[in-house]
Amino acid sequence: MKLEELRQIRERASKELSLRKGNARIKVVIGMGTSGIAAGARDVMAAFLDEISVRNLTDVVVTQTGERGLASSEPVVDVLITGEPKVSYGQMTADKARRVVVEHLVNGNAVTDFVIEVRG
Amino acid sequence: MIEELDMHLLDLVQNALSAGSSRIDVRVICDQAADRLTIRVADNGTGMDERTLETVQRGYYSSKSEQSVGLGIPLLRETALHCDGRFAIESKMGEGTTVTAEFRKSHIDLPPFGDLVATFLNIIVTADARYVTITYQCDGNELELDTAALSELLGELSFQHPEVIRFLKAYIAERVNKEVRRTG
Repeated sequence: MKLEELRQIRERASKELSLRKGNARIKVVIGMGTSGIAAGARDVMAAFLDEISVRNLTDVVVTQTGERGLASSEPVVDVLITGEPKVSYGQMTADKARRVVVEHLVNGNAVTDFVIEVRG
Repeated sequence: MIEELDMHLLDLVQNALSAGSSRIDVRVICDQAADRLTIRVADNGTGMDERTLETVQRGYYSSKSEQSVGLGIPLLRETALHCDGRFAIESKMGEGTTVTAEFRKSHIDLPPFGDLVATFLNIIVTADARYVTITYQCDGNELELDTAALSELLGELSFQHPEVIRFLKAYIAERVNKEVRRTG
């Protein structure tokens, strides 16, 4: 594989309505502080990125943040959708992350089993 | 707790992000002949004064501490020293921080690398507008990634476009997980 192949992806993508920098309807924020990482945040992040690529989601961006002071709930993930309250999920795993992608990001229903807080 | 080396990398990168860095350099280098493995994360963030540096290294934390960054550092230091290695933090206020951990590669207690593909992908696709570089050289495998070069190829297209994620994941895996090949 050559990095140059990214040019072709760019050209293909320029023909569609696609994800540009700083422009996404859905934001997923993963707590990657020390306690989040120790509790499995790496695999949660990997699962989100994997699902986004497999399901061709072009309006989602994944970012990370530091310690949240919620050590017992780590890994913590916030889902922010334009025009909706912020939903925080706790004790996430890769499997739970995949469910959140399907049920919340794609179908628009928060996965209440894992929700620890709804705000805004 | 943090049991794999790549988790330490993620921890160090998050420290760099928390320090407001716009430039982060990540290195994982093996020196087979010298039996050394070195991981290093350098940033141009806010840096730490001597007192904070001392606190972070020794891991003196109280619940009242406002300093919740760097919690993984005492453990990394302990692991490196236990594996016949070395540990150093250089930091200057306003200039940045460099953390270097070195291990004897053949040490029986050397932690596993973990999931380096996921870790490098994570570091790159969340780089946003920051200039992030990754250099990995181990066991005949070699990876170099640079977000400035990626941005040049991608223009305004996000690093998290599904096709870009797929490509980068495969690209990283191809360079990180190659079979160990010996010449001759």
